[in-house]
Formats: sequence, structure tokens, C-alpha cells
Amino acid sequence: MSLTVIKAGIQSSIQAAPFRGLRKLAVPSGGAADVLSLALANRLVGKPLEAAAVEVTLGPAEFRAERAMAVAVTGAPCQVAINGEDAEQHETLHLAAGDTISIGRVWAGCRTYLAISVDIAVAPVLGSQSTLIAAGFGGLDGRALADGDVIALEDGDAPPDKITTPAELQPFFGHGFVLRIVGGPESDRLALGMAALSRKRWRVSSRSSRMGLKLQGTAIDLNSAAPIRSGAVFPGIIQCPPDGMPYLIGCEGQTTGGYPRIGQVIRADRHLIGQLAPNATMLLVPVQGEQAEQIHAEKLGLWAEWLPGLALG
Amino acid sequence: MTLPIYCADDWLMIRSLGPDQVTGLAQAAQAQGWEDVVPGLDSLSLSWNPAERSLETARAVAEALVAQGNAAPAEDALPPITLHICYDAVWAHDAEIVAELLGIATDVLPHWHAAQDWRVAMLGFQPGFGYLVCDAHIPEIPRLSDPRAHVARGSVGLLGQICGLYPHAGPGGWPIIGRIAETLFDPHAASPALLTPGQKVRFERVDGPTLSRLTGEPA
Repeated sequence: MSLTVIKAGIQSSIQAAPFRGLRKLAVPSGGAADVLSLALANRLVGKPLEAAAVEVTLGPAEFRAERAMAVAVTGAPCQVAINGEDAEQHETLHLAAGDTISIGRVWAGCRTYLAISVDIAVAPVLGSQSTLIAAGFGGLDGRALADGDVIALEDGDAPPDKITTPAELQPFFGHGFVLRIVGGPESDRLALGMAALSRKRWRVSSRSSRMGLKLQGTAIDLNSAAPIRSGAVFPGIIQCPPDGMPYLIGCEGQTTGGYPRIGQVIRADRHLIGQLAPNATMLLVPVQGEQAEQIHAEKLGLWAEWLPGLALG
Repeated sequence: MTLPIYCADDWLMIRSLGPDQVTGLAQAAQAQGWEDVVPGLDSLSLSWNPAERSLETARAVAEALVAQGNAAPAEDALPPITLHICYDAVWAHDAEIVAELLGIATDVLPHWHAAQDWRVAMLGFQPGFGYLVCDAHIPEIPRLSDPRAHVARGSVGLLGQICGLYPHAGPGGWPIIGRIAETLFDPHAASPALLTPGQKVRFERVDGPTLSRLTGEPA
């Protein structure tokens, strides 16, 4: 029993929970780049919020069910079709053996999630079924999916009944993003203070992946070029390399770095990094740590009833 | 003024620490319920889940950790490790440049490198990649201006005070002076990383055939 990858597209991979507590071994967090969209997809097929699903980058991609199952597609808006017939995102979809589901190129955002009502049968590594593509382990042979791959599935119960994500809980993705940030360990080097980050619009360059995103805009001036001793970086850290163009660390980014860390996307907004595609623009809005904590609590509160136990990191 | 503790919304960093302080505080922090405890070269970073711990509590717990003082690392828990290293020219791509910057002859470099008292400061960059430091004063050695597209797994790089050990084959920007036989990272092992911060490292020189025998690769 399986799901066949007909067309993997630019990059599709099996993603589930992040690798937790392993950063001291230099193992990145990884997992779904947009944890909220993963949770919403799994909810629709009756699975735990962090169950393994297929993360599709930009699309298009296509899969064939080799058994009856329910699936759901969430994340970046795109055209979904079953055997060529239009289908909805944010809705439980029933597939019979032999049915194909296609995920079109995204209209905005970056990543879609295909959740499956039966469990994906890949062995967990270091406690997660997620794929660390750069490190080469986890998921299916530690790599992105390729055309013709067969994703083995466990036996499962009868597919769940159809449900739909309540409209007010479906995230909206456009081409512009607002990410809230706190200062980084070396923000005192910003010649113009946090305004250097907040008073400009930043554009995501094509040099972007799950590991990190190079931003384009007005080069940032630092008032010190003294070297930094390598230390921790986390997803959402904004580094300032010598060219002055910020580099935003993604979910699969390295665990330590030696460039000045001039900002940090707050935990509550980090799932949005997974939806930043090349050419997307963003505003970085500074907040205080206590405000960030409150925003995190409010965001969890908004989804608490629909997604109990949601973790944004 | 730079504060001794940097604080974001879900992680903080204790700055300006000596290597033993990093190791000692990291060991003490393991029992404090942090999400991640990440040693840096001169800092220790601690992260938490805001759904489980408030910013105020996190800061207070970290301040209490620092106030405990210079907790010395528990050495018995960390037996020294011996790594088998081959300094043959086929692996030591940048030995000549490095020796010149150090002001020593190229054929003395292996002896010089193996004679230092190295210890693991931190892991970073890639899973299991080791950053080793020693007390000797070593002049700055810059990264390669043109990073290599491929360095072998186990390659040993030197950036002045820091000796880096590559767990996997791949691109690399450190000047390379040798290669070790040991596997630094195995995600399927019970203990995936070979090295632990604070651990002392001894390099034992081996010849090419011995390296091949230890790695199981053809010479």
C-alpha cells in the first residue's frame, strides 16, 4: 500500500515534527517549514498535528493513491485537482485506489502540505520522520522526493469523514509578509539601530531554501567589523554577512554561525518563513520580547480549539 | 554597553565566557529543562518553549545559573578521545600555506598539530562537526578565498585557534591539513555525535595504509 510520486516538482519531501533538543549536536530543527499549515492539513485527515506529510515547494506536483485514503491540501494557495477535476484546499478529500491528485503552481506563498489519513511508513531517525535534506538523513532515504518514488504506507482504518477548516482559521498568503522581530545579540552594531531593518521593504532573492533566505534591499551599515566568535543561531535569526544584505535562517539552517546576528523573527511568526518564495516582499516590525510572548499566546489561542496542542516550534 | 545576557523571545545567550565556563554551565543547564542547550566558542545559548516557560522565568533561571559561578566541567564524565589522523599530502591540501602562516616547515606541521592540547569547544555548522580549541597562541589563518567544492569526510581544517573536523564530505572553506579515520556523526547510533563539548582530544598520527584500513576505503 503506497502513494506514488508521479511528479515531485522543484522540491517535495516528507516532513513531520522538528528534530528537538539536538542543536547541541549541530542537528538543525528541520521539520515542516510552515508548521501551522502542516497541522491544519493533518487535522483534516484525523492525524496528530505533527504527523508526517508531504511538503511541496512552489508546485506543480502530482501523486497517485495506490489504495483508498483521505488526503488534504493546505498552505500556499494553488489549484488542486483529483483525476483532473478541481478540488478544494482545506477540505478532506477522498481518493480511491488509482486516483491521482495534482497540486498546481502556487499563486502566492511557497509551500503546500499534502496530509494522508494513513501513516507514512518511514522509520523515524533521531525521533522524527522529517527529512533533513542538507544533512542527508530522515524521511525517504534522507533526500527530497523524486519522480517515480513509492512512499510506503501503513495499514489504516477507514478514511475519516469530510470536514473543512473553518474559513476564519484558514491562513491567507499574499506576496507581501509582515514578520515581527526582536533584536539579535549584535543589534547594537546597527549604525541606524533597528530602523535599518524596519524602515525598508525586503525582497526574497532566488538564493533561498529550507536552510535560509538571502534578502535584497538597501545594504545595512554596521558600526563594527570586529569578528564574532561562533555561537548559536536559531531559525528566524537575521544575520548580516559582509555584503550587508541580510540572511534569514530557515528551519533547516545551521545551528551556529559567525556573522553578526542583527535580528530574530519571533517564534509566533516563524512558520511564515516557510511561505516566503523568491520575489516575495516583507516588512520586519520590531517588538519587545514580552510583546512577542503575548503574540505567541494569542496566536495559539486563536487556533486552540481547532488545533489543540499546536506547537509553533 | 553589551549586557552579559542577551534575551530574545524564546532563547537567550550568556556572553563572554571562557571555554571551561561554557562547558561547566552547559552541563549545569542540562538539568534546568531548556528546549536546547547550545554551546558557542565564548557563549552559551538556551532556548525554551514560550507555551511552557515565561520570558521572565527563563531569564531568572539563566541568571541563577550564572550566579552559581564558574561551575567547573565534570571531567570524569568526559573521557579523552583519541582520533587517528593521516597528514599525508593527498589529504593535507593546504599544509604548505598553513605551515607558512605558522612560521614552521611543512614537514613539522603534523608534529606541531598533534602536540597541542586540543579540546572540543562546540559542535556546529553541520551535524557532528567539531570545533576544537587549544591554549597555544596560534596566528590567524584565514578561510580559503575560494571554498573547495569537495572535502573528504573526516577532513581536518585549521583556522588559527580553531581546529575543525568535517563529519561529511561536501563543500568546505577551511584550510585542510589532514584527515581522521573516525566517523564523527551517525544519526542511527545510540549516541549520534562522537564528540562532546569539553572533551579532550588527542591526535594519533597514522600512515596512509592504516587510514585506509580504519576507514575501510581503498588506499
